[in-house]
Amino acid sequence: MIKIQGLDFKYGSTLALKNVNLVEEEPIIMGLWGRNGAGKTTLMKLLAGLEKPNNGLIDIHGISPYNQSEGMKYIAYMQENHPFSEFWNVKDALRFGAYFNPNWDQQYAEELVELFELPKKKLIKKFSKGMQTMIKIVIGLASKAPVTIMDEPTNGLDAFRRKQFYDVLLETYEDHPRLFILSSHHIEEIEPLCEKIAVIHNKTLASYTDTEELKQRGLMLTGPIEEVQKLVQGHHQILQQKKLLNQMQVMIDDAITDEWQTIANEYKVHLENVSLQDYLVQKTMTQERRD
Amino acid sequence: MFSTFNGPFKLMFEDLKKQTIVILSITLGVVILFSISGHLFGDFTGSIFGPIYGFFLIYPFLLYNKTYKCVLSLGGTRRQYLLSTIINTVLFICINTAFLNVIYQLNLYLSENNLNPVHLQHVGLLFQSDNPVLYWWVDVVLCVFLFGVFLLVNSLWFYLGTIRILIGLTMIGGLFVVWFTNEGMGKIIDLFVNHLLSFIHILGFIGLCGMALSYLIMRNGPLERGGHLVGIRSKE
Repeated sequence: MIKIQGLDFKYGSTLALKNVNLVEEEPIIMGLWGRNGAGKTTLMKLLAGLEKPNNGLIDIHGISPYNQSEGMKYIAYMQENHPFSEFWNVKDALRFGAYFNPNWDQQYAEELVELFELPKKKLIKKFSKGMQTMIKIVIGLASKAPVTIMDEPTNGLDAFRRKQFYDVLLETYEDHPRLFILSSHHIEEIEPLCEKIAVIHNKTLASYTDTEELKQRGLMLTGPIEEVQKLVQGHHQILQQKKLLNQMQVMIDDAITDEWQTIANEYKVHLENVSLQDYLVQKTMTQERRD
Repeated sequence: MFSTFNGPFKLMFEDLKKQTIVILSITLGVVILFSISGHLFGDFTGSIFGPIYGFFLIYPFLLYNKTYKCVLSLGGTRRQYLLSTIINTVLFICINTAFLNVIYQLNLYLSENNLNPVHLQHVGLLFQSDNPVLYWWVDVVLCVFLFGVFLLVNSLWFYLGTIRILIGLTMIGGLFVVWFTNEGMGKIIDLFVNHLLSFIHILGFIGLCGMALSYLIMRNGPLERGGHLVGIRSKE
């Protein structure tokens, strides 16, 4: 479905992505996480054919998307600040969505507009941030493109609308399985939907892992300083250490296993799994220090 | 059957259609204003080509900030965008100037029959001809010139960025002034006075060259102004 090999990209002389490699053959929901400036948006633009790689290969359904009109048949890319004409209302946006997407589902688009309660005749430029995100979601989902890329798809949505988005995304994915790429720098917002998560860090793909596997990573040991220090002595995967009075907290890049549980009980140290967001932030910070 | 050119073409068509409605309404407003002034204050001479000529001069500067980004973000390519822009603009130049000339001829008929005291000016009057097709064609060619030249300027500006285009334009402007003051002015005046039709068509040809060069420059153009060369982006 998508294949990226040895991808390099520069903005002028500034390196934006280096040696990115990723292959995904299955129509899954993929999360794309990275800190600000990591290269997420650049990667999405390259996948959508908006930018030309300096080196390497991007293959989507057998085509290289840059300046390739056939790409329109396979890829829909909804940007974070998606440009809409100042003259457009919802009806116009849907009409143009239909012109540009061969698999466009007008009935589904109208159902989504009803669901999100979007005013059809109001100009999109006058929409709130959340409403602009919703119209992007409508176009992205109704395009039924085999590869649908959404940059920050929950930006500006309240908890209710976010839940609605999760529901409709999973529903349409079940009806018409296709590859979704959802990008966010708040992993908690997209993690419940994603089967796999690609981590972009330091201008390259740092990891591409099953979400469940990734969620197991990152364990926090909390206890008296001496006990915790003994436990983690010589461990190479320490991500974070904090001391408070006579207590110490250490985050380790490992999964909670029975062995860890036994040792923790033996040393009277509390053991818990950290949140995915904390784990990824600490992991990338540690990598940065090493680099 | 789905055509990938359909979307970019229709987007540009609808954008120009909306702009045309605005421009033609302004033109019509000017005509009505002239007519009222004529009836109130007696014989009145004016020209109505300003809004339409002005639009095709300004429109190139609106393109890359608005429709370019819309077409690309919906999946169109740069080539599709440029082709649909050029084809649609030429089409709307023909439509707008046809409207302009219908008003002109109508006003001419009314003023010749003493029904309207307004006398409109037209570039076609320089040809000492009454052929309405020639009048329309002159308008078409001049609008093609304005659009083509300013599309080229804006394409270069978008591709190279503000600083580079200012340096480039200053240098070209300097060379042009040297040429113009030495021998160019005489040649241009000679061409204008003795071969007006050729002069107008040379301008039209320059406009077409501007469009062709814009296509060649922007078919691999950046997403942001000066983006290929500056190395700075708004995000990541």
